[in-house]
Amino acid sequence: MSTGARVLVVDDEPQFLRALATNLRGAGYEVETAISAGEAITAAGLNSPDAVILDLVLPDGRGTEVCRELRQWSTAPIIVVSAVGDEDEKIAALDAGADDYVTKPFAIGELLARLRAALRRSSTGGEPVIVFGDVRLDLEKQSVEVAGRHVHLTPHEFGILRLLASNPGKLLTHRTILREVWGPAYGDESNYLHVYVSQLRRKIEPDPSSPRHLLTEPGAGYRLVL
Amino acid sequence: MRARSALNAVPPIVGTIVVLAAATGIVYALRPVAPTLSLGVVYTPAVLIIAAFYGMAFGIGAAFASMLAFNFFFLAPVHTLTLADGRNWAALAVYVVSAVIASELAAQARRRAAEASQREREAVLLADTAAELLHRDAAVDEIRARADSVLRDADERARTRFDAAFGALLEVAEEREQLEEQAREAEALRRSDAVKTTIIQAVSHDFRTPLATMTAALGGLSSGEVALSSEDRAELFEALGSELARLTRLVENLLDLSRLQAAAAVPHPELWDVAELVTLAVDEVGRGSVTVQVPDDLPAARVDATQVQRALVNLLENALKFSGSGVPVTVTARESERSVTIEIDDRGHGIRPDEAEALLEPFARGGAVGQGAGLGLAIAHGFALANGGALSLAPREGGGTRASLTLPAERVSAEALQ
Repeated sequence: MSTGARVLVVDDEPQFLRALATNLRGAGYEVETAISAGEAITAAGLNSPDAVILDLVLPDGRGTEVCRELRQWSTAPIIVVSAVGDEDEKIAALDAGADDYVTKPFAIGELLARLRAALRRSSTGGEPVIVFGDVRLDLEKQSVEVAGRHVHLTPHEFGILRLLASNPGKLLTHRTILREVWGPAYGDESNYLHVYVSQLRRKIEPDPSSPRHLLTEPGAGYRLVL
Repeated sequence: MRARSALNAVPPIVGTIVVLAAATGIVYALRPVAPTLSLGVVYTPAVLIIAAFYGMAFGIGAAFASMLAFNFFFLAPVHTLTLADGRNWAALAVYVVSAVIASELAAQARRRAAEASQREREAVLLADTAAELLHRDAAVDEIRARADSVLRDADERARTRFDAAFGALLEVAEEREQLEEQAREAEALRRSDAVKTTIIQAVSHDFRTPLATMTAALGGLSSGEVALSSEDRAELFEALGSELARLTRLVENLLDLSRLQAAAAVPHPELWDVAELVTLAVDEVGRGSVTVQVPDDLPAARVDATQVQRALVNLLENALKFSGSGVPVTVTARESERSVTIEIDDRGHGIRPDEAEALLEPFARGGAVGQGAGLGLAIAHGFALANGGALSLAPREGGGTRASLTLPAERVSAEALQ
């Protein structure tokens, strides 16, 4: 498979960086590497990559800072690499504009799948009608049909569904969802969010106890898989 | 002795009348053999006895009564009171003086006796208390409380004596408590050292096993001398993958445990659908061998979802590990007071009721099973407690173990969700 997409990989452990780069090249990507936050920003500026794989712990700064910096002039998807115990930093990076994350150690297959999804997403635009499974979501008419039948959603439920469906496959943090759906004053009040999502799932998922579209990323957020 | 106790037993007025009647009877009986007038002395011991037993008032009363009785019954003219007779007054004076002296002496003797017996009681009480307190290793507070209650009942002089005695007791008890505290500290240090050693041993063992498997698999795959079929290669690769996953879980568990023990695992409680919490955990261990029966009308759990998921995954892995293959692990949930209890049932070899609690400690392992460092239950327990919940294990009827994870929960009103 030769996608030809340019991927910038940032990690401060040379062995890990080399193994990752080898695997990505083997999967058909053009790979550039950087071992520090400063190097990553320079490399991204010189040679704008199609996607960035970014370790959160770097010798000269946090990966979150790199996310924030890159987001000022680049829309290239960023996948952060976090370790167990770095959950807060991971959420901060996602809030700062990262698209997705993988937790170290990860299988290369998982990273490749996330990377493919992120690249595909960055090339699709917004459409007024989004269809997934039995669900037909009409953003203009603000209506939802499941298996041809109209389903009533509360305004917040609809807001959550619209936000997630407009960013298919993208992991949206609790804070992002609250800000977008409830308003900028919210963000730390994720008290009822999970219960809303569970309700929403009961309305649109054929089997709410094993959801196929509206997925929970424990400790991070939600994503909608088309 | 019998007469004395009889006199003590009856009311004073009855005793007085009986004694005087007896004296009168004796005088009457002695009249034929002695001059009537000299028989007046018979009343003297009667008055003495009455005064000694019943005190001065009865003694003086008895003195007057004796005088009147002697006058009435024996002095001529008999059966009349001739108070003008000078002999009466002489007799009365003798009787009264006897009564006063006797009652005073008796009262003194009684006081001394009472004092002696009071001291004896105090001594016995003190000795008993001391023996009991020292013997039972009573705490300083207990001795203080006991001293207070004894001193409250004691009089001034006794209090001084008791104070000194209890002071000494307290000193001994305090010293003993200090020594015990030192011994406890030493024991705690020794045990924490022992725990660390156990941890290092258990972890080294648990790391070595997957490392050995991986080294062997990788050696085979990279060796030019070993000829491998494509199935062999696939099998070795699969072994590498599963052993890596095992190492990863082990490291995650160690990290969780250290964070729990350092109280660094601060939960961020939020409201979560219980069915979803269970689903997330079941998905992680694989749905195949787990049967889930969680009603969807349970109240929402107020917990840190990541931590509860770690707890549930550990409980499920534990249940799956000990359940025979093909026998499903069952997850059920029910509402209890302000909480939800998730029950994970297996049909493993079960546990003894007496080891249920110890299994929740790190590096405890049930019975004959030698797999894993025994971190899973300790972590589940730690996360349960950190989230305001509880974890308990119990043997199931018909074999196997039930793990009950209780989590704080609350009903979310329909209005809140609009």
